[in-house]
Amino acid sequence: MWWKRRIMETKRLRRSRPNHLSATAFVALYDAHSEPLLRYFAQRTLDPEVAFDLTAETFAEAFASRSRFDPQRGDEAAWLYGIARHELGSYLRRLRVERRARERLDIPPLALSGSDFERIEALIDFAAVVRQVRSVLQDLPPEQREAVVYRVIDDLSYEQIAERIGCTQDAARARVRRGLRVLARTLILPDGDFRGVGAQP
Amino acid sequence: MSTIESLDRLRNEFVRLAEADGHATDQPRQSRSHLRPYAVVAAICCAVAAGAIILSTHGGAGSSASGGSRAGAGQDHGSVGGREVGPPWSVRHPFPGGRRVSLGRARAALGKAITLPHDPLTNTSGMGPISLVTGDHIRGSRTDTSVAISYPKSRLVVEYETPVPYPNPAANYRGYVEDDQQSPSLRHLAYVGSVAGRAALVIRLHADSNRSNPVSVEFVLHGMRIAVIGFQPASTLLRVADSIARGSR
Repeated sequence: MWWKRRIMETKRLRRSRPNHLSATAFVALYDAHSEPLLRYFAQRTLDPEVAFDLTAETFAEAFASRSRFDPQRGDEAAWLYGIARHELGSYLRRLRVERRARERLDIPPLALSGSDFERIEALIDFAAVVRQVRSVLQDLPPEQREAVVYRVIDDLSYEQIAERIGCTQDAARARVRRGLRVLARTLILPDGDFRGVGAQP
Repeated sequence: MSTIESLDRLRNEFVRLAEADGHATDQPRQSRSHLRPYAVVAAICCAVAAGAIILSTHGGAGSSASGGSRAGAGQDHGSVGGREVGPPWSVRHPFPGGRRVSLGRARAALGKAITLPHDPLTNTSGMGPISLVTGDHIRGSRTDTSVAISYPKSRLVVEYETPVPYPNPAANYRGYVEDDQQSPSLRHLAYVGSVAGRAALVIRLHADSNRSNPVSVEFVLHGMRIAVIGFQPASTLLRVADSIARGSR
């Protein structure tokens, strides 16, 4: 009977795919996707701190709601990236990364070290960024433009940038960060909608 | 192990949580063998009914049933390994990866009436795409549904979200503003305003450190978070928000 075969098939599928994401499976999910997800956020925000915060909040939200993971609606990666898109959208609208899920799970704020900051920056394809935002670079305030050009085009370290500009490494990092955040808006708004006047060519 | 130490520290947090919680979550589900005969009968009935529906709608082709739940599976949920995971945000694409839907479908997804603004900026003739994002996975026990209605000519978006992501809107908005007071660059970013007597979070135009953000007026109405987002002055968007609140009465 065709319906009997269908029931058997359904049962077989259900046996092979758990209807929730176990805690152990979650850690495996983290291992497989934490870095690609960090890259996803870094390429869209051009801000290592924001990208890391979004990654942490996405995984926290996923962990908190893993019992509701439904394999029939897609695999774990699709589920995770659904949450990621939501977090990114929320960040773009409210200009800040939410901390609700991390607070609920009691995950403390994790500050990025300087070396991590640069490693996350390395996940961004700056060559592609430069191609897309070259015209907008001219509109950055001079001190930001100088710092961004040294970092993104000349590929100097923050130590070298600080030396050339005559400021501390932290100040150099802050200038690059502010400049890249302006450029990020031009990347996420490719059709010009919602492009800020300050970022108009 | 990642080359990024912060990711490893974050991983440790999740391992800690998994260890604390794993015992409970990794247990197999309790056997319900006494329900099995009923379940088999119910499954057979469902299968027969589903078969009948497939035969009637697909002429017996027997292809995979593509009901409402499949619509979610068919959408672009994104991917890993560098593949694109949906369009970026703009007036026409307010939600990265959101689905285009009709107003009726959006209303059904929210489970609430959508009150449209009544304002010269938001004529229905100027209404653009309607985007929908649902997340059964989001917010723990709640199903998060967001709808965005675009008005491209006015460069304006109205978002509707249910359930409200915070229990006390006024306190949430006050907290948002108070947080900013600690940062010199964000001190003038937002303030708590009022929409038809309700607390509203107003984010000022070009007030973030990049001088590039839109205005956002966010408030809660009838169990929905509503946000009016655009590049007009805050007073204009407050007027649009007011028209929504008045129209819902």
